[in-house]
Amino acid sequence: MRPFEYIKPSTVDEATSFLSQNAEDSLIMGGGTAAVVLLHLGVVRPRYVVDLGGIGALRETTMKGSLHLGALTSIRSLERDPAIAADYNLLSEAASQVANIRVRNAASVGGAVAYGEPQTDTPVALTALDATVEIAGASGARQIPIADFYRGPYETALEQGELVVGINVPKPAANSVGCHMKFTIGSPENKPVANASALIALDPSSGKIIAARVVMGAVGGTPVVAASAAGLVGETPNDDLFADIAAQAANETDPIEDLRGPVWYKRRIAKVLVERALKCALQKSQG
Amino acid sequence: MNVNVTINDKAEQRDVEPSVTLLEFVRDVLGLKGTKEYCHSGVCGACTVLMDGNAISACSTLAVQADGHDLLTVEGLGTPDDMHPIQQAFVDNFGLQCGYCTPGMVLLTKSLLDENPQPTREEIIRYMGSNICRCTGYAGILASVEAVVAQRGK
Ligand SMILES: Cc1cc2nc3c(=O)[nH]c(=O)nc-3n(C[C@H](O)[C@H](O)[C@H](O)COP(=O)(O)OP(=O)(O)OC[C@H]3O[C@@H](n4cnc5c(N)ncnc54)[C@H](O)[C@@H]3O)c2cc1C
Ligand code: FES
Ligand code: FES
Repeated sequence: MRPFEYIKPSTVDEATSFLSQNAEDSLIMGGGTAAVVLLHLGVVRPRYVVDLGGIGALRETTMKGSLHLGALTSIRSLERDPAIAADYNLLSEAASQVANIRVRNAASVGGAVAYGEPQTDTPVALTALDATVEIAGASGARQIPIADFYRGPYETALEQGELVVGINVPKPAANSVGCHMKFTIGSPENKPVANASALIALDPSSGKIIAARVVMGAVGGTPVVAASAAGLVGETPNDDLFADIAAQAANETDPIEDLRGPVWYKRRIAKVLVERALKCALQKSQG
Repeated sequence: MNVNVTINDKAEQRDVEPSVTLLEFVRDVLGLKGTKEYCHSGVCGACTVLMDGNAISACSTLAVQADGHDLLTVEGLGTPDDMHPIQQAFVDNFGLQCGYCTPGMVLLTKSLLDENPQPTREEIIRYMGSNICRCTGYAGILASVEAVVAQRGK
């Protein structure tokens, strides 16, 4: 690995003030699961590696009305925290499907979001949950809805020298239930061919769908929010409806051909996953 | 940079470049060759070590990230003359063929059983699928883990 200088700030201010001078020559590191491999391969050749690991404040998780996740919260803790599993089941379900245990132990939610990798699970669930990305830079702090945060593959709204400091997830509406479905080629790498997060809320008296959100991953440069999910609202859930909406949602995707398959194949997988995620959510909400 | 770790219950301090991976630190600086390298990308698990009890890939971690932490490598589990029950179970149940994945598999088993002392077969399958074995087809590995679980359940 090429030599670099190791910077380990202990506060967000220290990190952003260093980055305000040196952003262009720096690589920010969260858990390092992607960063260390990029360094090893020489894909990135920074002069400074800025390890956020010493910033204790970024490890804080709170649940007061909404869920606040410090950027360094591990993917594994999203999977294992019983309180998150209870109220934010979609998120813990998606987290439990990331990569393998080793990656989930080390990777941080801030890194997962900031990386902007298209083949990803947690950001897809966070988009379905309407999360907000909390950003800090030398010139101040701001918040962006996660759907606006993604600009393209590995491209985000982060300006040079800015950090993701946290993720805020609003509590899902009462009676809403979600499922995350993923298809992989079955290696411990486990990156999705495609995946889908569906969140639906049923009116307890009429049984009709009152809210629905469907987001698909790995089938576009960024998570794809299905506009066709609006067609679920006001309807009584049934298999034909789900199949129809899933077909429309798959048409909204824009996959690329790669080692995980050609475009038509990924669309077909996306359709099946959306259908399954909707059925799974319905089943869960009917107990 | 100074890196202080407790590794296999022993305190170690070394001065290393920040670009040294934890895998290089363990194998080349400390001379503990049980931890293996294969994919160098977080996929295979040949380089599995436990940091504060959690399984991680040493290849995808900088040595400086381990500063101040507690590490366990396969050498800390048992010795050829005095094997840990997990190691003995792998020997008794054909949990290995070439053996390259085995240090990682044994440590992964330890982290599974520390988290969940009585896992179901389904839970074992999901967990052990985190690491790659190219030889055994996993049947012997699952049998090894189940043997430890059964032994402890007694
Ligand atoms: C083998 C393998 C398989 C994987 N499979 C999946 C999968 O199936 N699904 C899935 O969702 N994920 C998967 N991942 C995880 C994903 O690819 C990233 O490795 C992980 O999310 C990065 O998190 P990290 O904390 O380790 O970030 P790092 O590796 O530290 O950083 C990743 C990138 O984000 C930047 N960054 C990190 N933190 C911040 C921050 N707080 N602010 C600004 N920038 C930051 C870094 O500069 C870097 O560019 C897999 C990873 C591996 C290695
Ligand atoms: S060598 Fe580290 S995961 Fe394969
Ligand atoms: S025994 Fe050869 S890779 Fe597992």
